Amino acid sequence: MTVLPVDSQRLLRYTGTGAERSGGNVRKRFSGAGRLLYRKEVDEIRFQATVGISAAARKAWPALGRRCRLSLAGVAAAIILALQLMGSAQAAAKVIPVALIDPFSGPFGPVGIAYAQELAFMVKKVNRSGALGRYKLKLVLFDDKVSPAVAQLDAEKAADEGIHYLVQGLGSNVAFALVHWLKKHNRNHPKDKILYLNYASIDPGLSNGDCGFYHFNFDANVNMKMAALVSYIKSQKEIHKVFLINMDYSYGHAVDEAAREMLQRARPDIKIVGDLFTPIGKVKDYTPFVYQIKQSGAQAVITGNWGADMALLGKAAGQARLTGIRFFTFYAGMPGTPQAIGDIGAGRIMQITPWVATVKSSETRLATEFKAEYHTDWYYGSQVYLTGMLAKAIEEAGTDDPTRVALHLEGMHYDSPVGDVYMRADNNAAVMPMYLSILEKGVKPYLQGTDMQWRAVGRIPAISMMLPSSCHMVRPKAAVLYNAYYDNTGQ
Amino acid sequence: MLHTTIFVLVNGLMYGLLLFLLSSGLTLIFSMMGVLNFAQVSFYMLGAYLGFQLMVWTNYWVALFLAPLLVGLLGAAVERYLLNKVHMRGQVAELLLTFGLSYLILEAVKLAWGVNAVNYGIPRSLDFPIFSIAGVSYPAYNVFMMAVAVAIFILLYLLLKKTRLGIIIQAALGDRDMVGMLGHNIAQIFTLVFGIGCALAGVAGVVGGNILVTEPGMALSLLPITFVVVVIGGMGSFTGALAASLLIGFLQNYMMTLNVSLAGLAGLSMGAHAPFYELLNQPLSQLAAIMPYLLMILILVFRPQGLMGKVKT
Repeated sequence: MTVLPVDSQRLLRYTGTGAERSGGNVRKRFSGAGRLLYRKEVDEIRFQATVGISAAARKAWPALGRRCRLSLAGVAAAIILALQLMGSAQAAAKVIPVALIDPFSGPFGPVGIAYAQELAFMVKKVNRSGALGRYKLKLVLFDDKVSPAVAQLDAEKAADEGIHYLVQGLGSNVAFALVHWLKKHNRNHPKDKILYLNYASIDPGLSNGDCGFYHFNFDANVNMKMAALVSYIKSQKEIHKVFLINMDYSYGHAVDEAAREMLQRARPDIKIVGDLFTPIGKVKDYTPFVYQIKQSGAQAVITGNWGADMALLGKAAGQARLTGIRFFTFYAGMPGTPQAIGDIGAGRIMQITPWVATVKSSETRLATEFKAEYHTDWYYGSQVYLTGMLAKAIEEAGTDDPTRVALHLEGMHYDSPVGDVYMRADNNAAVMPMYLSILEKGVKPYLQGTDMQWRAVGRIPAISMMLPSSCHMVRPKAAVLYNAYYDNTGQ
Repeated sequence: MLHTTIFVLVNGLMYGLLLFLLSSGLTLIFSMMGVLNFAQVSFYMLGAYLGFQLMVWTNYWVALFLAPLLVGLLGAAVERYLLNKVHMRGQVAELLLTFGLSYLILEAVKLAWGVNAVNYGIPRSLDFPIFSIAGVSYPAYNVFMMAVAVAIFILLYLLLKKTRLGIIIQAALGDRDMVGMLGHNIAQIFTLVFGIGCALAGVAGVVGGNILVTEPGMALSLLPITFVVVVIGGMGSFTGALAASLLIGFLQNYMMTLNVSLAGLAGLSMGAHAPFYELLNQPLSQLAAIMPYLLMILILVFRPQGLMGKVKT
């Protein structure tokens, strides 16, 4: 009686459990339902093999000629060898851990969790698509509570765990802290460099003065978004007075400065009638600020507020029935914010984003899938090209070495669902088309739990997002560059 | 200027009463019963979410009645089966227990309603502008909220001062064992008071949850300010809590509405190199958020018993 040597470990690696295929925690592959299922499968195969082959062999073996016996043995050996090879190929699948440092608790926790879900969803997609070849991405979450100090500790922890990729998005103050930590770390650990991918911290300093070779920005920065908003405001002849209200930290001040400077250039006749900074996450009642807005006689408000600070501002303005005042925002579309503002926000609030649900694109399908899985709305676009471009760079570099991957990310053109995304090589910041949209009632597909949606008003092509940059980055030594060149061209 | 003064007074009154509503349950439980209930704001959050859910299923008025009842029953159960057991080990044990409980409630809320804010709007029947000050309208709902806060104050005042139950409660808070000796069921009274305190948090949740934002972070973001109200008002005093809420409401609104700096108020104009330039030229609106805490420190230093608290003997 012959039994095919089905090594349970090898078969498992070959088949892969759900967790492994989806890029989840690889450690989980021997546990829970996967294990049960696997046992069943193995037992079944064993049973079939034993019964079928042994019965057939017992009958036929003596009757077969010598050559036939040999060739059968050869086929069996080949099958075994093939299984072995496949197993070892799968065993070589290398997991690239990616640290996601964002708030997952506290006032901005919900926003952090919503973004993390979108990233996890995209990582799963990339792993499943097989675009990474023998690599797989795995997200490891670190809660920074939007605190720069905690984020630096988290990065330190991640480095200790041997993680070479950091992803962060919430809070430009945190991003600056990470950039400074990164510069120090990469200087002190030349053999153990870390790559920092920033998907939503958009202080322009990050892609100008504080840019760096190991630091990539995937979202349009404040100046780019403001340029898009101002180019629209420019055409709105009824706007003569503008009120600025922003959060009191580097990012909010950057929004304020950009608005002043660009409005002055685009429409010198527009007067800035108010200029407010509010403490982050501390104000419960925005009505006094709404009163100031009303008193100023402004026709438009420009704000970079996000999370609870955007929701409460929008809500207070809606309840006060500020007719004729439009809100130009960066982040009124964050998951939960339109829901918190409610119907009273409809028709008054505009936002600038890389993606809108009402514009048909292949990302619409992603959004539908995402909503079916997580029961919240898909919000952003930068997660799509962050994961896509990282995968492409790793695939092109053929290695997970951060320096090589960075060299491939620089200057990359990526065919994203919403159009070509270009990673500028002069400041490592992506440029992408953007959409200006307005929150309206009765526009489908409805946002979760409302009867509203963002209706696209205009599309801003990527080329007009190419703003000049003051970035002077120090690139790695020529030798590294040469290596990369050699890898690519073989010359 | 007249408009601005009226606005500060009206909006201050409104915000102050909202603060009182939010901290009324805590006043009963922390300041009168002496239980350090860390989970108080979690009951408030639970009230808001239950109110939202019941409003979706039925209507707002059912939610206003049912959600506080459910939260109150849950609170009573917590007191009866959990807090009661650790009461003799003092306040640290109570604090730890309610601390753990707040996390349980938070996770349960996230599981049931997700991590993002829910669309909890104000009821249609009260969603019309009732008056406006210089172009800023107020929905009728805000007036309703103020009425609820005032009604809670009056009812609690009457309950504690004019009814037999209130007298027994006050006596039990003063000397638990003695009142027990006199034949009153102390355990039951404590369960009742705790339940009422939690129900008040439920009312605050249903009424305040749609004025603020109903999301999982709402509990934690309100925790400090409710304790500040109780401390400034004085332990064991309802009137004190009301006074403290209104004081914070008026002061904060004044600072946020008048966009001036300390230097501007004093009529100073100073060069950028003058000492304390940054602080003195900071707009008051930016300091408004820390004002309640500053006030609390001043009160603790100069009047430790709070505005209207009783001096412990």
